[in-house]
Amino acid sequence: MDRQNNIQRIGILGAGKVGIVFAQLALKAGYEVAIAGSGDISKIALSVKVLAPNAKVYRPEEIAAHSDAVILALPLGKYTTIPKHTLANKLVIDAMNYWWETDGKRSDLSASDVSTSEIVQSFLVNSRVVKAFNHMGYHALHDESAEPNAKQRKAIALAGDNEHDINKVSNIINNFGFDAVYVGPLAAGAILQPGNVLFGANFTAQKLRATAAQLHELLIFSTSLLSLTKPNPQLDALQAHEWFKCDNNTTLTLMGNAPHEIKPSTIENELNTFKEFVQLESLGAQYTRLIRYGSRAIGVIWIETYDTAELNGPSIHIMIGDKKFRNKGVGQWALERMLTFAKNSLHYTTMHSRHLSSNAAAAQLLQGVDFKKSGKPYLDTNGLTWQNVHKINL
Amino acid sequence: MSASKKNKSHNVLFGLDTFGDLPTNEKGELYSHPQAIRQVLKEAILADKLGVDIFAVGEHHRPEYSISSPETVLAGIATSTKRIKLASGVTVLSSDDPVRVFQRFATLDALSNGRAQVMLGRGSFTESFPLFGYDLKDYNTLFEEKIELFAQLLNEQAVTWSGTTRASIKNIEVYPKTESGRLNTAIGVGGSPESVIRAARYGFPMMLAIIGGSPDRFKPYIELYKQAAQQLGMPAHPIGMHSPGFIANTDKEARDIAWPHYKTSYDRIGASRGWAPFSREHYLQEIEHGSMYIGSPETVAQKIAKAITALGVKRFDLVYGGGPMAAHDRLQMIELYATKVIPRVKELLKNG
Repeated sequence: MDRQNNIQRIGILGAGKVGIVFAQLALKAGYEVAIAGSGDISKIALSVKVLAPNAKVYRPEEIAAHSDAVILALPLGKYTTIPKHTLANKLVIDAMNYWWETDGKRSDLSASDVSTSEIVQSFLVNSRVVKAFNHMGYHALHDESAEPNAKQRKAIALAGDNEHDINKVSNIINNFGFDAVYVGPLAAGAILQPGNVLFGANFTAQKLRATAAQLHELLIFSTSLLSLTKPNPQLDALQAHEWFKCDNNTTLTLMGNAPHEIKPSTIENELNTFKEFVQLESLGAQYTRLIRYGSRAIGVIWIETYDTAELNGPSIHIMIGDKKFRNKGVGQWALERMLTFAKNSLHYTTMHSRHLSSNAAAAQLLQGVDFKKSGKPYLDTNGLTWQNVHKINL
Repeated sequence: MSASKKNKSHNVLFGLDTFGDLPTNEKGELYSHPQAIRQVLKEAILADKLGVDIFAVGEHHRPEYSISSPETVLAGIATSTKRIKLASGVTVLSSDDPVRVFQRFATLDALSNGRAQVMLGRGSFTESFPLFGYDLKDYNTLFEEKIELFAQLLNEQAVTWSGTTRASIKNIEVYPKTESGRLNTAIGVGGSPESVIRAARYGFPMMLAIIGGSPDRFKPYIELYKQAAQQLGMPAHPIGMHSPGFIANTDKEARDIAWPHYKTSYDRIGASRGWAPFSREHYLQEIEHGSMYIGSPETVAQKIAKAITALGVKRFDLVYGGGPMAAHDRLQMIELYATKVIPRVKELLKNG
């Protein structure tokens, strides 16, 4: 079997119904398996011998030393009993769920938009946590494991922040007999938890992917999923085309573009725009960042370093392309970070911007991050009225 | 149990289990709790008349189920039936007093001329905890201590016991005593290795609740029970299983009748646990490869025979009437189970 990334030994914390199924899957896949219950070896030795022969039984604190990756299969309510120091620098796969009938009522673990894997990650502060396997019932995990090319092979979703770890866990998922479907950063793992449509999902990769995409839209908005990154023209062009194709040019008009300035949105046109952004950045003329929610692009923010006829000095501009993310504080979140970037990396002390006088939302947004009006409103050559603003002492 | 002992296949006992789900009348209106309880009595009398071996009722504390006091219902059934065994499935021992459980079932045993069986379990629900003033975080301790006390009570001698979950008992006799000298007791297990070993440790027969996925998955658990019993020097009793099902004249009729009721019942429970809604796809998957015994008498008989053979169990209970099903469909199902399915399973087992 594929031994990419050198994961040869799987450790499992928890030797109940779920932990035993992981041991069985790992053994079937050819891994060495180390498993621990809540304490004494003698309490689980017989179960493991009969149910998962060849798995080795250890105490919880000994598991890390005998494994390259550790699966958490204990009740979530007991996560603080995990021997965290032994798991430092270790890849940890969180398969736990909040289950009030076992864990008791716990408001700290049951908020619908909180990924419990983030809670686990903040406890295991020196480990690398990836969420996986939690959404499928242990019956199905046992029964549905199948060869890579099996028809209707089922999929396991994973969420994590580190690309190398995501690859490693995807590989483990595949070896356990499932297709791996990445659904986003650790925070996005909330969509796999009790109360969401994916909890209990026993789906093919195609269906799992489609359901996850819908859920990202429905999910209660959480700023912990936002990030600013450089454009990825091929992918972002597709997303930008989605923003504009049914938009009747309202977004670009709101931004102050006259009808004759707006090109029809095609994937090719969008791709050229993003390629231009990349080129402008290499010349130091413009710094463009995509605003992302999970892995999806929802807007653009950019700094023009050059003077224009209207703005004397560097200026900042922002557009939330995905309408679902407007009026949620995304603009302020992005402006604050981009202004910090302008100050710390570009060493600017003053920043300019402008908005259509009629665009109250833009005016309010810029005021919210301490931009002040510079001068009176003025007409441009297209007959639009603008208001310039600026911020000093970045 | 009688003359059939010499034949291997006839060693298997067949039961019917219910939680006393509220059924509906001809107009589709839901029965009240008292009506639903009387319906269960009617069903038990029919099952007894048609030769079903065991009738088991489970303890729940939820609006959709009418039975919270299994032994009271069973006592009613006891005086109207002749030969059917009367079991709980399960009695939630964690939130009950072992002494009272023993006394109530010993009383049932007297009323039924020795036909009572108590099946102890933790139950798949937790409503009894707040109701009787227990804390879910003591789940394990409560069950562990109370089963220890119950095991002592079964000896029908003076009891001495102390623990953290109940007042101590010092050398006290508990009444009534049973005629056989030992109340028939089993333990219901959902598939955690710890529970399997616990059943072996106390020398209780084990009943597996197989309510999802393939029954084959439980093979190693049966092996675990046997090995644990051997290591601990306890007898390894025959093992039983229970699974949900519904029978009608054809596969299509059975699937169509049962579907909305299973969906209602699954989704109601799922809502509190955060499960996604039950899909028709999942339903059909469980019927074809999992643990729902739904179809024509032939289909269900084949599936039961297959599971009995695969696991080597000596008792099969069909959990019937899941969700707000019409009362007449339930009665017809019991008739088909007793007159068509059970004889056919016995035939299949005999012919290997």
